[in-house]
Amino acid sequence: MTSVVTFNTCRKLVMDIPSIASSCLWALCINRNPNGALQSCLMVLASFRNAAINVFKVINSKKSHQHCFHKPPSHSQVRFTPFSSHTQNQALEIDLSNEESKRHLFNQLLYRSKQRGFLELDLVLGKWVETGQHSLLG
Amino acid sequence: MWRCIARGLRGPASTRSTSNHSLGSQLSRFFSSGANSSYTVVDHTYDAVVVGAGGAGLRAAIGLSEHGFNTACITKLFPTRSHTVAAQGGINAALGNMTEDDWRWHMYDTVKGSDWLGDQDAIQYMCREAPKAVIELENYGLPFSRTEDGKIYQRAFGGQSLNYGKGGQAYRCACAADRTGHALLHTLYGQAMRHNTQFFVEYFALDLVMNSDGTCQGVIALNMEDGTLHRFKAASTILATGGYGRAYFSATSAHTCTGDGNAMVARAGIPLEDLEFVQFHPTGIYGAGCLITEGSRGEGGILRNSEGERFMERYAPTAKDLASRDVVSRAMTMEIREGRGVGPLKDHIYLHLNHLPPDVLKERLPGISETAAIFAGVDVTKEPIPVLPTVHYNMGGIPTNHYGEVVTIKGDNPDAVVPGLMAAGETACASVHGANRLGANSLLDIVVFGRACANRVAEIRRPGEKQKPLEKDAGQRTIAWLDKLRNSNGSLPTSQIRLNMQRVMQTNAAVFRTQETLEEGCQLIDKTWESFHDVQVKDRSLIWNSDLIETIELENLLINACITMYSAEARKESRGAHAREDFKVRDDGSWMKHTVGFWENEKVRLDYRPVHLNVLDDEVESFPPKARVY
Repeated sequence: MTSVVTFNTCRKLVMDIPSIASSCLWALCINRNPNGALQSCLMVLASFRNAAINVFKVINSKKSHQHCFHKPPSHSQVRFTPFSSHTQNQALEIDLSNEESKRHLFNQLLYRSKQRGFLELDLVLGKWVETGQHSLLG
Repeated sequence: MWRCIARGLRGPASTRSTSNHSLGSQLSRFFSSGANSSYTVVDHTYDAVVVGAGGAGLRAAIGLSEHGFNTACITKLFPTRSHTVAAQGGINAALGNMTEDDWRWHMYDTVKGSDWLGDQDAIQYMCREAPKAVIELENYGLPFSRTEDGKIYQRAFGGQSLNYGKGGQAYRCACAADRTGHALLHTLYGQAMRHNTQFFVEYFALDLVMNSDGTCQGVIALNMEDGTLHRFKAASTILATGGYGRAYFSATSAHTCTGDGNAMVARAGIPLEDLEFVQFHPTGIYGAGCLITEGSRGEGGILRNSEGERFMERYAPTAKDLASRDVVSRAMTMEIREGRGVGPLKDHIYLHLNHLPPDVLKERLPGISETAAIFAGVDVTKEPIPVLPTVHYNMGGIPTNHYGEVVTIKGDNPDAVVPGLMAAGETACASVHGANRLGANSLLDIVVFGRACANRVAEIRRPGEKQKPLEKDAGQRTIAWLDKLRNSNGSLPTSQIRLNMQRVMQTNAAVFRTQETLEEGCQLIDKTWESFHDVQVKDRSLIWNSDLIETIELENLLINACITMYSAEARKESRGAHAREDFKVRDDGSWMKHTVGFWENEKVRLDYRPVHLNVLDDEVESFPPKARVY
């Protein structure tokens, strides 16, 4: 039996992020400038928390779609957003018990974490996701 | 009208090339065509398609939408993650808010800074349009810093002068604190949301779709999220994909800067221009590439080699560590080449700040202290920072005229327009930066020419115009290439080939250039390209296959790297950022021309096109070449 990410699972994911991020990033910076490391931790946490909250919102929005029978998804999606990849084609179900699904999610996180626009953030966040994959996705 | 038709594409790929035969192109991929696996192909039709959603891409998309064109913007990452976000300095424009100013003086400084390799018609266009472009940004809501009386604040920047170099320092760089790029990108993003632009986020543009008569009809892209392929048909295609800094070992560029647009153009048989001109900053953190600003040397930082010697005393007896960027970069590189580098590979230099009082470091260099701690793992009060000359701008790129139209050599015409194709931003080469970019002109370039592309499309096209159908086999060669690459079963991981390329470029085509180093570099980069035939892609998926994406990006970087190396070897002079130890003077008689590098059958073929010394009209006179001295 497979399990789809539920509200509680997603909430747990969001709540776990601070401790996961702190422990992983702190390891990168151990014995180095604590103040600088702390600032960077906060920056990474803020960025990743926003990403996780977006995941939660997407999952939640799927639920609301299920009750909007009078509005076909494709129509409402095209009308409300100019971004194609996040509406028309996005697979909204994230099944963490399925290895393929988990791998896709991890690859997505890895790609986005290494493409943040600032080299500094590419390095810090990308390294963190790359090294923390197991604890990140359970 | 927007259309989207999904269908499956099956069967063997046609052997017919989709490249433009009229340009003499013999496009050759390193994998031969073979049977395709089944790939889902979705077709779209737009009036215009923009590839890249950084500053130039967004500005083009906004302009197109304002003119009523149905516009698609394809980007491999979310728009606000584009590298434009990292630009700090500001944007030049002769607004005259701080002192008297004139765009003609700005033009003079830009021509001079380019070491006379810049096209003066394009430079005139950029400098004349600069004030209008900046005022438009202000109207869009860019939160510029302000003077006490509410005008846009402008700061001084190196190389900026009044009255054609005779009137002292100009204050011409409009800025939003020290985060102008960030403010610019988010302002343009907000404006894009107001207009009729359809964004295709996390779609990786693979290739141009070229007609057999040499016209560009759009692009084919991979949706990274679901693995589908998308053919975007458009009357106008605008490339705004940024630089290729990642071809070097040490670069300040974000990881996204892999020269994708450059490579797409090269594969289509169109040349790349002036790639030998690459700008370096002397002190990037070794291995990471993050910038350590001149402020550190301004506060008394000292560069030392493996012998502990303060070697800048030998190269610049008066200025020492505060010599200009190119002098410091070259000195560092010479120390490394002569075996006095530090570290296990003796391939970098130490920047010492540990002799400075901790209070000074904390008060005046807090950012640098933090950056060094995070990215180099050093406490600057106790240890030196490992540094290396680091790429921070590519002057070369896709050759364009001042309208933003891509041009190529066709018969006797060195400025033949490629129909349907345009480029803007760092990926383009207008050429306004010539051999050396003037500080704070990069943001101006992306805004002015992104805007120019949109304006040009409005001049020559109409929204909703009927378009010629795609040829039957459009994109199939690309699909076959993608399939072969995805199933590569060689022995070399992508990361290893990439590192080899980066080390070759850093060692042989960075700051220190001689015939010996460049000849060796050509041989080594060829070997690196050959090794790409043996690449290994482990992941066979089409969904979020970062292994495959990085491999495609590596091919794109390799094409840029090869053309850069050969272009640098061929130019037997010193000019701007291309400084050769064996040809120390600029040679206008032989080398007042643009290098163009074609990528043909996996080889570089060089040709040249003349520099535009002419101006557009009688509003300004052309500036004759003279020796560049400061």
